[in-house]
Amino acid sequence: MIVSGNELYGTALKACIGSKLPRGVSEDISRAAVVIAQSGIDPTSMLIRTTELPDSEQLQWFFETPNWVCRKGSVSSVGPSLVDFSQLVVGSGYALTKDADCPGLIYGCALSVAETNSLNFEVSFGNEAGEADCEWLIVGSQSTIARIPGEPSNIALKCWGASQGTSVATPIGGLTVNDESWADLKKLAELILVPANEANSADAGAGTTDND
Amino acid sequence: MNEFSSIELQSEVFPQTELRPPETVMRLQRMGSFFPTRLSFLRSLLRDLARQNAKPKCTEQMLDDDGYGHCVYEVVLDNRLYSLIAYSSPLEPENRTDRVIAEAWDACFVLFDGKPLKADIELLRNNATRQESGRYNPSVLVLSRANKSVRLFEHVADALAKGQQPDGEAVAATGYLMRTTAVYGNGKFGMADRADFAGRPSLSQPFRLEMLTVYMIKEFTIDLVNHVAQSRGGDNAVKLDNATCRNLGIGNSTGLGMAPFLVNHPILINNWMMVRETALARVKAVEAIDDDQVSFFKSLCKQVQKHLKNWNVDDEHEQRRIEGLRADFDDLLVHVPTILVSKFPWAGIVDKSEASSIDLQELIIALVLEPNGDLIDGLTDCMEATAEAKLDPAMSIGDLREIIAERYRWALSLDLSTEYANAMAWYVSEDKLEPRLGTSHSVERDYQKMPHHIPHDVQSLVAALNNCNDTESVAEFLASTLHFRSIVRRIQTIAKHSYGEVQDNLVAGDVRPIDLLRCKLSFFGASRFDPRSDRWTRITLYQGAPMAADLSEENAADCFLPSLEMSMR
Repeated sequence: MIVSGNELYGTALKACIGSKLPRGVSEDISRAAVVIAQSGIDPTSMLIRTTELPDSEQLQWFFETPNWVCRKGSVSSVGPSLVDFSQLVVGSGYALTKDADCPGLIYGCALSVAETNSLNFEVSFGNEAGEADCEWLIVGSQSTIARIPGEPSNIALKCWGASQGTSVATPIGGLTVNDESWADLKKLAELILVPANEANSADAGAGTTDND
Repeated sequence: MNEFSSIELQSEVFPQTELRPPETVMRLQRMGSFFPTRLSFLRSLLRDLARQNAKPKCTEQMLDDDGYGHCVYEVVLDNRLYSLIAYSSPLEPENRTDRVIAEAWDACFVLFDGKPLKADIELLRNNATRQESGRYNPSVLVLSRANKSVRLFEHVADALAKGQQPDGEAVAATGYLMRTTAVYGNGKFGMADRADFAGRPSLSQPFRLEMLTVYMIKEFTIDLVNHVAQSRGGDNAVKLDNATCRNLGIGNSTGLGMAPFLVNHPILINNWMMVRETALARVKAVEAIDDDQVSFFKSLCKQVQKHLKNWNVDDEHEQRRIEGLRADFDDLLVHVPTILVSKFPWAGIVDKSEASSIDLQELIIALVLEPNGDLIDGLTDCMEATAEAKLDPAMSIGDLREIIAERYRWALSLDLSTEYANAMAWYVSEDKLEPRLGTSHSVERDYQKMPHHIPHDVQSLVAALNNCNDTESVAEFLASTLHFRSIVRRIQTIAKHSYGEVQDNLVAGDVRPIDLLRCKLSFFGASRFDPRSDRWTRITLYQGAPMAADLSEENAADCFLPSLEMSMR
């Protein structure tokens, strides 16, 4: 299925809010989903997994920024990790996750934040020992990405300097997503809708026929 | 260069007075009094079409005797072809509703990127006539639909079929043959994202393609009624005369779907307002005007008087406002000749209006901008938004507190503890995703409410910040208070885009969404606001605008608050 960037953002946002994620977190995840899709990876299954994350430890996170905050610890959902990613100024770090779907989404969130902060950004996915046994993924000013092989559990992060912008152009012809995952995402998005009844039909402020 | 630095650089070249502050401009009552100006999107499109000598023309007309079938219109902008495909279908009266819940329409439209093949036209027929239920690809730029004003359409068609022109009063009373009930763009239902085409030279301004679509729909409605008249009258039939064609705009029926846009796009709205206020500030700084400008302005005033005289609506409250405005305008006109030959004449007229109603103040602003195209038209290049709302996690809590105190004084001053201050909720119905406004009790779950309770969120945030030190970072604060992430980002955004926030409680018991609708529609260039309730309005676009064949750089600007008399002169 081909969807537009705006359509993906809007549906992801509604799905996250409908799944009771905080609005600000939902906004960031949805933006990240578009960034991921623009890179050629279908984010819909990641989004659905994110909305299903139980309130338990999912992610071990460590990141150093030499000129600001050092943080180390466990977080229980994607939400707090976004806050930590907000601190990506200049530095390097890594994240461990037990969720195979998380790395891509975390990557997207990190990329989204780095893009916002005009940073060059580098990400790698590797094994639990932290070894980069997968391809290095270089993004940022070069706007390139490799597919994630296997089920990596480690993400290495490095940020440096200000870039001249790291936007990934929307591919002509829209964004490709899996039909089933998209349908599931739309169902989640429908959770924000209010059931229609005769009483609230008048809330639109207009009658039901317009002949003049 | 972004839109801001662009305005700032221009301010070094053009003298200007101080801008009106956001706390004056961004109030619902004032926004609900806005009039279209020469900065409005349809006006700047007409100027651009004229500059490029771009004239939409019908290249395919496949209609039966009753006017059902399809037509294709083409226009070239900056060497790129755009095509409007118009589908006309029979519609039973009981199915004619302007609401989102409609399932069928008199006409449906697609703006296509390039020249559609026959296969495209047939494929899109099966989708466009189902509107939101159809599926589109990025070749589709805009999707729209319209319903006839059956009474006027039939009157015009019958008159033309008999070899007569329609009754001028009937034309003036309605003002359009069809009214659009939605104009979708920016990636809806799989269509092209705005980002896909915003880089094209003629398309960077907001809603440019939507305005182009509506202008081409105006051409279609005239061709359609001429075609039906010809079928009915044969050799006796005549075509609609140019003056009436020009005076017939395109109606639009608009409900609550338009209102959340103003809340959800603070940077874009800031830029629209900044441009409008900067234009006013430049005009007010003009020290003197020549005899030609005096004469032109006086003729504009007469035109506005006629427009106000012809502007009548069914809604009693709104009709009283219009009648009050007529009286206020007449009172002001007594002073105009003297002020025009004084120093700083435009500032003098604006200042004089400030002793009168807000409706008059905003009408006068639109009016004094009109003769000053050379000074302000270039500002329309600054109305798009390329920046996105950003979270600044490194900001200190002390700095955040200062922004709130400066930018959200209005929100902190509200008493939100009463039931009245929390009476309403904005939501989306499962009934074809129709946006609605109901009592807060009618929406069971908080996450189903649109985030229009900005002052409530600000007050909650301020209370939570009481437990923080000034030196603490926003990131540290948000790590344990994720639910504030959105409002913090918004506040940080408004710090740099101060006209981006409506400074009223949008969930109060007395909120009037119609004010938001009128504000946005005025930027489109809409006139003849005709509210059907406090959350629903009809308006007219392109009334008085030259038809494509007649469009020139000389007449492109000549459709400010039109009246029938003016157009038929």
